[in-house]
Amino acid sequence: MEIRVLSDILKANEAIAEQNRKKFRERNVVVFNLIGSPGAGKTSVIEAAIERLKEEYRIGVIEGDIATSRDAERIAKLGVETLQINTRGACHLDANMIAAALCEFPYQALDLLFIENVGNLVCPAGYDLGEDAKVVVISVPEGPDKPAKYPLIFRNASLMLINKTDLAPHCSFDAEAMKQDALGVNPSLDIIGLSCETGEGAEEWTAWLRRRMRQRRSDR
Amino acid sequence: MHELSIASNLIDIVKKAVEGKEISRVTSLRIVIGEMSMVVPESLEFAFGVISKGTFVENARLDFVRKPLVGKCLECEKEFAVRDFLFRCPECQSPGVEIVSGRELLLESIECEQG
Repeated sequence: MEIRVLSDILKANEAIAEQNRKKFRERNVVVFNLIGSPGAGKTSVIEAAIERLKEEYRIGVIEGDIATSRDAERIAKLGVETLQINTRGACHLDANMIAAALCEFPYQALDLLFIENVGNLVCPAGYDLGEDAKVVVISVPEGPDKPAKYPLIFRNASLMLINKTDLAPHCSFDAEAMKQDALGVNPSLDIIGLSCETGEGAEEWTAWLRRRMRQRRSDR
Repeated sequence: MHELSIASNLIDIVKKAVEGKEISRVTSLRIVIGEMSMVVPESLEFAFGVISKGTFVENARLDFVRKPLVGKCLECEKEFAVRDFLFRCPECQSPGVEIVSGRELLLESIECEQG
């Protein structure tokens, strides 16, 4: 006998992600899920944003790593609300981990929440956490072929941050080829180049955040 | 990607679907896998084989229905097979393309024996 099911196999994560999303929207918190390879500069771009925006918005950060609280300690030095999740082996954050974190993290008092995912360009792409947008962080020394090699995350992201642009003279980095690849996968992807080291491009990154904040708030 | 946890989710869904029904054996599961689901059928089959041992779905066969990645142009409405994840209309070159199929990861149906 046949039983028709028609059930999305990943629905368990989707359902919890929607619950997270509802909680964030009820409290007017705008949430960004930062995804990138280990060492791309996810923590650095968050630091750069906090330094420039913390007088305007109440900011918090949820950090995801397999081990250590090093990233959370870096962020905490900037005086913002921080929580470290140690996945102890899981290669990505999922909605359930965020739901559990929200029980002990005062997200209700925030305007802007950054979730820094585990360093990984593959798995985080498919796991909705309840965020407003995914931001993919890549860095110049990684080379220009990431959008072609890891299409799902570039398809699902709203913004690609190209970090470490100050190193471009030392790497044979074809920025135009990479942008063409990225736009081929996702024509509506915003692209910003910056250097957390020199500060170049950081204003563009924070301007993008401000625009998204205004947009979300005016959707109410 | 994460075929083991996906296999585990699959077993949970099957368990719920057969609840309250007089089922003696689950013979097969029909699964729709999209090209852009990033799940590899052979890996899922392997993971399922491992994780279903000793459960009520042990030895169930997985039948895969593979869905290609198909886009639809938002400008000229042409539907086309998306190659190499390039989302550009081959007809009018517009970059505005929505995905019609290819993202699925769905348990469509369960074949089982009553008794």
